[in-house]
Amino acid sequence: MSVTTPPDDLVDDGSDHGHAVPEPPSEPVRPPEEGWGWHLRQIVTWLLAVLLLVQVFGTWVFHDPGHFGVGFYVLRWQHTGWRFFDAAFVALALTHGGLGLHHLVASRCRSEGARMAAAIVIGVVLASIGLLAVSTILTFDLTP
Amino acid sequence: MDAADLDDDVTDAPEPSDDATDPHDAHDPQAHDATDRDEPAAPRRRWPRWNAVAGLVVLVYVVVWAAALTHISDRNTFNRWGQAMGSLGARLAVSVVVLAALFHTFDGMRRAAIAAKPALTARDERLRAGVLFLTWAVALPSIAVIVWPWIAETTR
Repeated sequence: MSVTTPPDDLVDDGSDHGHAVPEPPSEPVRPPEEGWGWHLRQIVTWLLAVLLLVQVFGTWVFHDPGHFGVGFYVLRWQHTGWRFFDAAFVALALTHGGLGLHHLVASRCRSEGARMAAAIVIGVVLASIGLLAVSTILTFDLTP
Repeated sequence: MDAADLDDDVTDAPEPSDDATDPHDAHDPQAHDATDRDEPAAPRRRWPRWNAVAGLVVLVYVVVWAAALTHISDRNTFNRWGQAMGSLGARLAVSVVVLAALFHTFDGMRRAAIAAKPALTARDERLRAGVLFLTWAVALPSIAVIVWPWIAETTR
């Protein structure tokens, strides 16, 4: 979600799309105070760019959705790498999506309390689903 | 949908409330000039927030998929859900997810590239056009692949 990198908003929100070519900003897009956090978000963004497409295409395009079922994952998770891939995808995607959703919701909340409540609800719900899914992926018994 | 369609979709109305706290405004000399002189703010054409919409679609997909995976030990139930994925409605829903995933990924890469290298802002128009082109170029064949088995089975 766009919102994980604040500099994106700076670039995206106000350009004269369809008119004059926007000039490069005179200030650096990356705020200087953001150190490792900015780099971490960049790495996660590029990682997810690969993980998301591999997951979606590997599950729904290269395989017929009509043949989706336990057998699909039994075959897939025989390779430990796929287990870790799916677990990493769930964890990263929910973290990335949770941060984005929080940014979206928080920008519409007027009070600090509402913002905090939104952060807690989003965090608890997504963390619960994520932890359950990751533990299922890593511990699922492949024997019928 | 192409670039022109997206242009038509953008709202020309000034943002009512968020812009007051929008970090962009702190970097937008035009916005400050208009405010400082008490002139009515010129309508700004905005890239619609399709990226946020696409991200929301992908997030819902990941949540539903992750929640479904937690029930994989109940093999009969999971397989029943799997069979439901063969219906036309489910295939169309998956197609929307694929479209959203592609757009969110390519637009996210554009944003990340600009954040890493601000000079790319000068080429933003081309990058946006590239995002739309790549999205549809990959999405249309993918959607055909997803939906085709249902069509083939129905018309057999």
